[in-house]
Amino acid sequence: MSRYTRWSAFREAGLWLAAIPVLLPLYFVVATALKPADEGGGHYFKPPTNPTLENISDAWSEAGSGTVSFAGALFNSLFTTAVVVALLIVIAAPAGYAIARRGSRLAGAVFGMFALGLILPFQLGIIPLYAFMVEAELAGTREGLILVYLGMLLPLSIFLYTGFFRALPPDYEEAARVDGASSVRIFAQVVFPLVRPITGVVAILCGLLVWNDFFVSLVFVGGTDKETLPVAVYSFVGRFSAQWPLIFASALIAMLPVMVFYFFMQRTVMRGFTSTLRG
Amino acid sequence: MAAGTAPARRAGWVRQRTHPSRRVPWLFAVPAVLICFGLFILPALLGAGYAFTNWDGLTSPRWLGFGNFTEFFGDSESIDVLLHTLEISAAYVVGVNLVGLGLALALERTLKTRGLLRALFFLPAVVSPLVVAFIWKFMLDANGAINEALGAVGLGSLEKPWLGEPTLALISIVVVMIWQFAGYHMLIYSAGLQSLQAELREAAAVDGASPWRRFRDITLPLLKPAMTISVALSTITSLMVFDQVIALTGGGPAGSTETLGTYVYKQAFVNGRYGYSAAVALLLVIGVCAVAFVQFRVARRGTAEAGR
Repeated sequence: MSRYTRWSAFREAGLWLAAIPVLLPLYFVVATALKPADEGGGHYFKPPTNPTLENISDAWSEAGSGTVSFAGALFNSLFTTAVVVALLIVIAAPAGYAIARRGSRLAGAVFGMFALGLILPFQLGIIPLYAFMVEAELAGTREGLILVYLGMLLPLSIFLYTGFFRALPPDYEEAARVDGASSVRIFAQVVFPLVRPITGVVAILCGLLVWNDFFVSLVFVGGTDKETLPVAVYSFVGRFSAQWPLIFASALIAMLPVMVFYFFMQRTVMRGFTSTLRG
Repeated sequence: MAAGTAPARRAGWVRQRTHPSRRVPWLFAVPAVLICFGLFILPALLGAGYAFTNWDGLTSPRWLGFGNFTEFFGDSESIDVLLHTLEISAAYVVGVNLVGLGLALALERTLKTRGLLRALFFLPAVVSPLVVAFIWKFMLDANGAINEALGAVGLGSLEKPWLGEPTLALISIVVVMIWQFAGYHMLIYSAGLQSLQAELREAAAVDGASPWRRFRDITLPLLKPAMTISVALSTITSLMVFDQVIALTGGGPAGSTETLGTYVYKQAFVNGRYGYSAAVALLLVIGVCAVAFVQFRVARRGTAEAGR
């Protein structure tokens, strides 16, 4: 086993030095967001002398480019992310199960389609999809936005689920089937609970992708009261270009939920990110 | 138990093991196939088709053949866009992989605060790229935090309009991207290092190999799979860069930081040139697929060699 040597101490010190530029921008966000308007210009490194929550409450009730306030944008982000993640799990888990268990040539072809979706950049389809959404009167609606995210993230979810199901021995389901349980019951009561780890990975990865997404939200709900936090921050910066205390208050509202989540779940989150790399 | 019955029993067990599973109804996959095909694959295929037309979203599209592509390659403005994208991508891939690998190596074993440092370096990767870019815009501003710090320590001569000058703006975009995702690539390399046998390295240490030789002859070759993935991922994401450019420079000054991602968006949603925008997007897709294909080939050759 390796010992803690002088070299280790040197590495450790160097890494903490390297951590300063990682933390500094986050310090600016918090410090600036808490500064009253008259402390806003210059002296960026100085902590606020009279910290105030005024910026945060102003940003909270201030409307973005549509008619949505940041409270509303926060709700939109929470709602969209939660619904997309729930639907992804409900739709992708059984599909991955069928693909893995069927193992036929057709299953291979279906899996191939999802694998293709994995490398196809979203930009190519966005214009026809936008035109279709306008036609179907789904552009600018929550339903439309959720559908777009589903189509976009199903390939990743199904890729993860299928890989996991393939490695899962079918013994338990077999026993249940011998007992005469239906396919739906077997899946819901026997199989699905067994794949909880990968469900967690799908939820974390896709949840973060939806929460942090700017492009899709901008195209499909930008300028409406359905916009999510990143778009709201974007239009906010456009209107209050130099008022950093106010802008960073809005950035804080957008970042804080993810940061809190990461603080408590960091190991799981990091494991989730590396688990996409296998296979 | 009679020896003769064992194979028969096993055969029966095998049939039971595979057969009922094949009865998992296809209905389970239908919603996923419909949604993904209808809302993702089909639009992409249509987009590839529109790339050969002059569709503007209002009038019916007219077939142009390769007209959009010859326009793209014949126009100095769009060639510049392509060049900026390649410059950002090249600088980012080199930078983020060097920093990521460096962090992963430095974080290896024995450190007391290893877990905390790892979590800290990965932290920026979970924040919205757009929000991160706005924080940096504040720092890089002509009257921003970075210039203030330079002035305060007597390096006022180094104060620069970081986002106001073409080359500096490109570098700034790359720095912001590296700042955010170095931790993610650190994680990829850490995963690769974990699978690397510690004994192998210790054996080499006993043999008296210098640290550099140990790194070059043992660590680096074994890190190749991780490196292949990391390089491919960073290439693909940087070719499609959008959020950071929109937030930091909006493509400016004077279009000097416009990338394929922002160009596709502006051509479609600002200029209404859907067909032309789709053509540029198709070029982007071809580039991305080429990278993915090369990565796949390299990875497969890697496993074939390892198996030998």
